[in-house]
Amino acid sequence: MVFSSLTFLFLFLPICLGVVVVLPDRLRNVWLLGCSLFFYTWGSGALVLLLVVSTAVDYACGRAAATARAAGDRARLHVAVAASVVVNIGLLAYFKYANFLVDQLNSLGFGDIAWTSVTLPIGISFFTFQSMSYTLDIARGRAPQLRSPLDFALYVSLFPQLVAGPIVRFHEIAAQLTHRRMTVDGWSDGVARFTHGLAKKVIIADSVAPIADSAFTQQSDLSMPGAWVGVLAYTVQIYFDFSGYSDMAIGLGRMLGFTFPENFRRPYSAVSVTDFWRRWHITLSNWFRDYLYIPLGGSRGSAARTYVNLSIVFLLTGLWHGANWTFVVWGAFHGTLLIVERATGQRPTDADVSGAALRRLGVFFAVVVGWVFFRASDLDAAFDYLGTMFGPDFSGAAFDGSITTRAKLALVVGLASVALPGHVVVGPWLERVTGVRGQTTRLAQTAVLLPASLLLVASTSFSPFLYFQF
Amino acid sequence: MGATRLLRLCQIGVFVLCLGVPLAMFGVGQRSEPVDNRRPFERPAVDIPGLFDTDATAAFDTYFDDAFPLRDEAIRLTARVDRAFGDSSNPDVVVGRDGWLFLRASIDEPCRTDAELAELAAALERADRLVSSTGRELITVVAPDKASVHTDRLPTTPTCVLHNALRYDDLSTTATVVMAWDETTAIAAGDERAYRRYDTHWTTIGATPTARAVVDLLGRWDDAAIVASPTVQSVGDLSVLAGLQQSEPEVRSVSRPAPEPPAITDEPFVDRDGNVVERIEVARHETAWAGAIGGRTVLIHDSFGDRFADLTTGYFADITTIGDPSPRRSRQAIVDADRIIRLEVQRLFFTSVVGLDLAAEFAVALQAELSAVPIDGDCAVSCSVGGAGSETYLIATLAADETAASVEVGGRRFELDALTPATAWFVRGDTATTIAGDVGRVELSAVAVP
Repeated sequence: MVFSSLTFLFLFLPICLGVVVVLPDRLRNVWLLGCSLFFYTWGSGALVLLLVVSTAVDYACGRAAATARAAGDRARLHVAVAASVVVNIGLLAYFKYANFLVDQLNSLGFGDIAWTSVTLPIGISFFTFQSMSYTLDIARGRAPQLRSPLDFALYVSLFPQLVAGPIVRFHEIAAQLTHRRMTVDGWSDGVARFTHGLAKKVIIADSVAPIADSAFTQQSDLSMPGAWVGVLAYTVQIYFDFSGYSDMAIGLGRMLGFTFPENFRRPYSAVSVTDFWRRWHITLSNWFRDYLYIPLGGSRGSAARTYVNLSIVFLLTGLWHGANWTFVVWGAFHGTLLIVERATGQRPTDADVSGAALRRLGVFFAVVVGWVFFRASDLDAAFDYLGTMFGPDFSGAAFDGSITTRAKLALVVGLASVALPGHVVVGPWLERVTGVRGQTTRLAQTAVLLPASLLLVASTSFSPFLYFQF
Repeated sequence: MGATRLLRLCQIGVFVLCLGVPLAMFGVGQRSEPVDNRRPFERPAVDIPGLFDTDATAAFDTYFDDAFPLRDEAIRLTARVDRAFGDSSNPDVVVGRDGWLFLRASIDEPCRTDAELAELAAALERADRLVSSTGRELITVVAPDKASVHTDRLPTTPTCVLHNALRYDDLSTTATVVMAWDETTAIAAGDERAYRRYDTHWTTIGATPTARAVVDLLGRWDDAAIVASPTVQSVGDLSVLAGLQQSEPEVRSVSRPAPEPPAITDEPFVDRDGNVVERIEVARHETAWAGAIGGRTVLIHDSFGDRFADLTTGYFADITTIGDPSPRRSRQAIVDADRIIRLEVQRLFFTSVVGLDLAAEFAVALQAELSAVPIDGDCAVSCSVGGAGSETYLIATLAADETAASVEVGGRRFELDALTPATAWFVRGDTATTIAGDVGRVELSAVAVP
């Protein structure tokens, strides 16, 4: 089930929220757990068992880690952590990367390995990372273990952030799982944030998607202007889509009494690639920083060691996004830029740094180029696309003839948001505003954007049949 | 209660209303009006085991999308917003000047080259030779596309559609091809009602030059025989595709050349297994008028044939109209006919004649009357038919006890079922053919091209 589907918005969500507000506190977690498992099963069927396995393993590992830590038994502690990592990474490796690995081995001539393609379970990258963080946080003493397995199951499967993040590390939410309050203020904040996210996803991201799709699927007929428009459209689409989902998750969390971590802070306004990664998919960066980069030694060793650590983290960051060489190259591209920034000392994160406008432009340019690898179907297609972007062919039109004015406007609005001051981040601001003027703004935002977004969601199901051959 | 809190409550109220009202409407049985030109999806049975079947949950999502109470309003409103910007909500529909709508497929047609036109002529002549050799007459009629007639209404300069219309109209071939493009353009220039503004199709006004040309080939057209019916409001198919149900007045005329109207019998179209195929309409028109064009005629046509039939059927002593242009699906009617008129719109003409090989379809339909040729070898491995230099059609027919089969030849896949139980491939005598797929489910035969 996706947030922008009619089934979610008009059946699942009203029933889930309607019941949760009338239930006593002690039953809310049970209800939310039931809803979350239903939510996952609806889209994944029997693969919900993987979620259950990951949850059961980490609950047991967390318990073992807590006992070992209390007893000062480091060996047992290491075994508990290793078991969690092996099972979760094992699940991830098999379900997400096995097809890719077999393809690579076959193409390298290691024989024709007979293989039945494995179905990728929705959100596996998110819930395995989140589940692992429970054991890791307990092992480090950053959070106490949860007594109730139901509370832990809710932490892993909580539907607002189950399939697309934010990745909530256990210590960030541990206390809220057992003690939280649903309030009018929380609902109001949540509604504003949810509406903001839905509008970003439906009004901007989905509207510009046909421009990007058209450019990346009709590469052979593409001109240089068309290629640039296409990749800029994808730049807008991926940000508004992904951050829109995060905003919706954060908003739903607020309604339910949770405070999820922020996941985006206007990444296209970054003044360095280092800054970009503090603004883009923040919860993933934090996860890798805490559970991989720092354990590898972080930047505490020599410069060379730091570069190696950065390379490992970014190759894995790329691979985390998908089992394709394009993601590996995308990760390597960003890792290389980070290493260059570190080596040259050019890695400001302050929006007011001198030459900020030029720096922003440069980083934006690099990020846009990187998205070509992220979006292209394979490396050949990515390099072909880059060749068109930087080739001398001005002959074609910038837009496919079927692109609507609505799509073009969405692209302009999306790109215009890049030019806003770096510290203006609308989503969190909407939650923070106070006073009558602030509340009036939020009410207006909800009253206009929510019906408009829902209208667009309802209209996307229009699928007439082209019957002209008869 | 403070103003801030009141505003917060109002905001929550908006959220609850926006999500709760449609749910309540659905709960009390309100459903969206159908706005797509298809049957709405049925509600699937949802039970606990079904929850673990993603096909079942996806089917429910699709049903709920269709049934959502405010869906029709949402689609219309979005379409109106897009139209206000001069756009269509559906990329398959293009908004032209003064609100005229065009099907994108008709505008995006590629320009046919000289080589392609030669190929087209050869394919038509092959079909003509096959049909003529069985003593029947074949007339191929091409309905000009709206985009090649109303070029002044297109949003941009005329494209290949006009180029193709001119080339098809002047096609050099011994086969009988009728495309009255010049006359249709002339009539459309003087009367905007020749094609419909919100619809793909021509009206009887637009179809008149083509109807006249066909009737004059076989008999004598009479302008005075045209009887106009009262104006009716018709919803345009393109406007439906674009999310709006725009209607426009249409004068639908019929030709009544005979003193008495013909006797019309609606007949069912049945597939191989005897199932009635509802979407294919069949009607038989018979008249005893002495001036009628004799023999038994079959008109196989696409959706442009409806208005053409209104103007022409009255001239024929015995004509059966079938709303499907595929000869192999109308096999029995073709076997029963002395004359075959096949009408199809311009944009599909090249693809159906060359790409899908019209002659192959006639070879399937008339195989019993064509000269059989032995097949040498096992076609699942490699086979050949006819001698060097010969031209033949290799025909695969669904075996009697089979309900479906899928076969592939030369990279092209063919699905056989009760409606389309046979298919054929053109084979030159000196080439080997291999058939992949369900070869065991089909019976193979071959016929010579005269």
